Amino acid sequence: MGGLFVTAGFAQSNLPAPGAFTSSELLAKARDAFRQGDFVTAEAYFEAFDRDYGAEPQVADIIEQNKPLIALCKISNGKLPEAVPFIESSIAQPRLPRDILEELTFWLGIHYMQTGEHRIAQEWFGKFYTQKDFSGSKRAEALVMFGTCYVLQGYHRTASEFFEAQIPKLQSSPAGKEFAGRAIVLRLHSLLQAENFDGALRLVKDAYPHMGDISQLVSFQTLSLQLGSKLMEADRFHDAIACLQRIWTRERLLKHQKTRLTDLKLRRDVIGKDPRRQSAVFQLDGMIKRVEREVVNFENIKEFDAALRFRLAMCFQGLERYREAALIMEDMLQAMPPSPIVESASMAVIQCWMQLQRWPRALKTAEDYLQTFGDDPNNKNLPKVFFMQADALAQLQQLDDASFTYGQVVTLFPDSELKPKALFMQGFLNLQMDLNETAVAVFDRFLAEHKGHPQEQDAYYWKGMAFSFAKEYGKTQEHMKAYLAAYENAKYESEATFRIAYCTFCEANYVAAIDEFRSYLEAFGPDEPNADEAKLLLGDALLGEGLADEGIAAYKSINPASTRFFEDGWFKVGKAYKLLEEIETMRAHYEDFLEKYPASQRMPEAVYWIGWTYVAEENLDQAKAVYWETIRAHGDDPELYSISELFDGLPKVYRREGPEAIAILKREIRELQDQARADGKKTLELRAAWAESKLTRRENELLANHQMTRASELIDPEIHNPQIIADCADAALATDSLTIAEKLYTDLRKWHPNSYHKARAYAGLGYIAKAQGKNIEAIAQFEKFEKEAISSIELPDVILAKAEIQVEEGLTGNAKKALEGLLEEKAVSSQNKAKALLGLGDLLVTDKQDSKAVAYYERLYVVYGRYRDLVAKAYLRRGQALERMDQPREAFQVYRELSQREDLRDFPEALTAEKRANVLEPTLPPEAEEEIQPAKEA
Amino acid sequence: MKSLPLILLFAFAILGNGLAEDTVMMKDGNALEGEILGLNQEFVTLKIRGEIGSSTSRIAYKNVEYIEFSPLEGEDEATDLEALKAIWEEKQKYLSQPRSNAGDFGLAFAEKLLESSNKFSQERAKGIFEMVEAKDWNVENHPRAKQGRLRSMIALGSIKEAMSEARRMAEEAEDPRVLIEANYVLASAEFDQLKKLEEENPRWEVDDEVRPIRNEHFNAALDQFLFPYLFYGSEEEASARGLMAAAEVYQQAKDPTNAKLCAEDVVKLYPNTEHRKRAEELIAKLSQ
Repeated sequence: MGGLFVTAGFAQSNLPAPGAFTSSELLAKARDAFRQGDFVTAEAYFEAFDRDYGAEPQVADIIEQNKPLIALCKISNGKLPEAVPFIESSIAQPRLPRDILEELTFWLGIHYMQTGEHRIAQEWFGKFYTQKDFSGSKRAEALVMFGTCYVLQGYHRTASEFFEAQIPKLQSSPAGKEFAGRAIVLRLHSLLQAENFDGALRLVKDAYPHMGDISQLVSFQTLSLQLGSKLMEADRFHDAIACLQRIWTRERLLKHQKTRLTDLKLRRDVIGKDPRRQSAVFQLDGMIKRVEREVVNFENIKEFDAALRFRLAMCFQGLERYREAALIMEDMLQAMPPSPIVESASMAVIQCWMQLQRWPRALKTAEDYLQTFGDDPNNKNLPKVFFMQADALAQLQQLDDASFTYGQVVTLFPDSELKPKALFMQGFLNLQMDLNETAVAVFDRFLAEHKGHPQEQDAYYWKGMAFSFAKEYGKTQEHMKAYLAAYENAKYESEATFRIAYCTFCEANYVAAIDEFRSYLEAFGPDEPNADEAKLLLGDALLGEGLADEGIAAYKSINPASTRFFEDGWFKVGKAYKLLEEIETMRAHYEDFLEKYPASQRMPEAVYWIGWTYVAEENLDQAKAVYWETIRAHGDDPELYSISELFDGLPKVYRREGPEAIAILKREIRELQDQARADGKKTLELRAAWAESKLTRRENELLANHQMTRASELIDPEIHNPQIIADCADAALATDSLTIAEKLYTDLRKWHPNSYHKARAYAGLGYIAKAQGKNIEAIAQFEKFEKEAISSIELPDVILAKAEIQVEEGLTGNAKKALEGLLEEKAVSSQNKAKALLGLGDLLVTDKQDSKAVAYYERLYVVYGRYRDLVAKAYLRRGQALERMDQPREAFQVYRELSQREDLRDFPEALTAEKRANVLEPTLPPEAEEEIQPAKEA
Repeated sequence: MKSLPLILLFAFAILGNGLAEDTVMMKDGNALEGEILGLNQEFVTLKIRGEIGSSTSRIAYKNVEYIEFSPLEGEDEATDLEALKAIWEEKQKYLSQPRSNAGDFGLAFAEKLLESSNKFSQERAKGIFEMVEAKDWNVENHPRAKQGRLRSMIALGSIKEAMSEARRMAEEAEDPRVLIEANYVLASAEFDQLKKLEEENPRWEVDDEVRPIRNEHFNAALDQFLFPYLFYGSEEEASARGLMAAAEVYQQAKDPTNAKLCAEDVVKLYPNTEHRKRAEELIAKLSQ
């Protein structure tokens, strides 16, 4: 026997001294230690027994009986290769107990697996599995080991098929679930290796509901991530998404696996001391080791979530679902410290928002990017991010900031390929901002620094346009000629040629312009974008030179599709006939227009000119008739907003017959209104009612407002002219019909958001809110008005109304500032400036600063004397302020001056002033001699 | 009422007449079948039927492990408002009792009520959602109840309050389902505001003042409806519901291409959800 203990190892150090015990003692000690689970001591005594008594023939049987126990000791002591001869010898014993045979057979399989003899290992695992009386869990383990051997041999397809067949069997018993989990991981690995991605995806989907049962969950999820990547690379984005969505976050995975590890260790401790459950211990140890290894490795992968999210986002990007991609990446970036993945994801997010035209979001992401990664001198993406930021700013119409940001690309990244593009954009934005001189300088720089760049020609041409926009016609011509000479088949050949002729025309050099326009039209044909403008200008130039027939022909050649130029041309032809005094031709020309283009916004102009021809022939009845005919023919068409202008034009024709004719007109309009009502022509009825009210206004404003308010009942805000809606709303407001006014203003804003009259809705809604004490709402509406109607005549009224609220809210400073702003603004009319002065004076009075207020009132009536209503108010208020300042004499003088001014006599303030002067006069002390005398002398 | 000795109770229980009955599982492992007549923290009152008649008894609640409630007649088929109302009214007293499905019916009934534009129904729905949220033993129902309560608040016009509560919920929630439901409420509110704004401003596309606000609602509704799909994609029902809602937003925006893409995602990624059929119908409609 001797020889079996080839290496003593650990056991050798515990060997009792030779002869220290009898054979029975050694055997008893060995078996006792074995029973107690002290396998090291047991092995040592078994070895001592063999050493001391192994050669004696009478112990041969005992030695045979010991072999399985020795094998088990060695296995337990981690000496599987040493155990193999004992195992092989033991399992040949016919009377070996089944449980020991089970344990040893299993270990033999493990041994061959460890030594790389996978086929032999499979034989042993196979034999093991066929023993139905062996433990179920060990048989399941053997089955997994059998399949694992296929994997180790690289037979992935076979392994996958094998596991596919076995997994359901394993899953059918509670004890087999753990093995099924391992089999699933191994199968997923094999499927990936065999590039069977469909099978792998099916497995991931099927396994997901039971994923918690998989002990190597991290491996499974990592393999799923690999699968997701493979599917993504194959452009199978939906499949990739389905796969990636089934992967847990790093935190959830770690938490799950750490809990599992604790459970496994607990179980290992419980069964570890049972010598007959060593294979189960082995299984548990294996599981613990695997899970521990997974956890340790996984803890080092800090960017697992980022990698997962990034891939998911890429899939959505692959599907051109930019919103989804951006949302995923944006969320990912919020929780992550800066890293290369975060950097490239941030870039992708900006691009996605740009693609979706969500400019504010793109801008914000670009700003965040620059804040986080902007300081890295090696960051190659910086110019691109600056460029996108500038693009977003430009889209948001923040042109100044956009230009500055393009400038940053130019300055900070002179070597970037984006620099010339940014420089060009900077020039172009300067053009948009009317900074023509700056644009020229930028384009000059471009041309100096980027010869041969694809945008060189663009820069060249737009520099010329900058001259043109600056009305530097000579420079434009010179530059455009140079441009045409510099490039053969120039990109902007047609545009530059047109521009040269245009500048010649602008310089009133009509003879040359005629030639240039003709050459242009001949060279580039009628389909060029500028051809119709060229024909119009050619007509102007020809008429300028007295070549009426040719001019008319040029106008008539304009394509009707170019509506604006075509109509301009038509009316210029009419003007030419007028100049030529061809009145009938002129009338026929406009009648032709009326017939062909009744829907044109210029239709009333044509009617006016037809009427004019009749007036010129002193045929007023015909002149009126043409208005009425057109009104009756088209007056019920709600789309023809311009019909209102015909109503506006009628009084001018009627007045030619004397002031009493207006009464006739009013009657006729009322008759039209009645007829329209009878005919159910609501639009015509509304227009007539509106026109009647306008006629009434001159005589009786209150009545006019009531008429207009009543007319508003006919309004269908969706289709009717916003001007009529606004007029009716203003009238309703003036008659304190606030509910009607509010509805009309709201409808006006709702249905005509682009109408010029929209601003009136803001003002009206502001006044209504103010009247209702809703100060915040009122200010909001007034501010919208200010933004919308900077040059409106109503602006000062609105500012004044706003100022009143501001004063009420204790914001006198703001109110004062707003009114002072009006005084400084050049574009503000002098009437509005006068109103602002009055408002400022009133503000100061409210602020108990009468001494300052008097100066503003005085300035008003000294500087803006033609606004008599305001002047009268200013006089009176100045007088009142002087009284409060205890200067009755000065107040008296102001009152007296007002009451004695002929031009102000009709204003109520004049009467008030006179009464007040009369009251004051007797109370004034006689003027002191010394005060009066020098003046008299003077 | 006098308590019967347990042994007699078992005798009655064994002689049960085979009707569907509630089962009271005792801590000692025994089970009693009968009709629960009353339930409080001290006693369970059970009517036990036998061949020789029926008996009513009180069982000390401390001896009860749990109660398995038998389904009411027509419970499995109840889908219309009246049927759900009847079941809820019968069951609501057991809402806090473990293993009772009262909360499920409460939610179903409240959801049905919320479909109505009638204020009274919406108020009632809100009350039921509140009750389920506060009292249902089944915590799984709480996120849905919370979401339902917020949706009824929105229906009743308390949009700002609902949105601010949903935002707070979304910020504080650790349970993804709460987060998902909070986002769904936010998205629904945004969508409601989008529809209202478009209705009030039919020409919003050319309205420089309204267009940016409209776009904010549009984007917020979409972003939040897509939330479960993008961040909790394995929550299949919630993801598919969000995708179908996003499809609706796209349809509102007259963007059939993206609406169809959302529906296709449901079919491809969530074929086993209740939303699949609707998604297929939408795809068919948009493909015409």
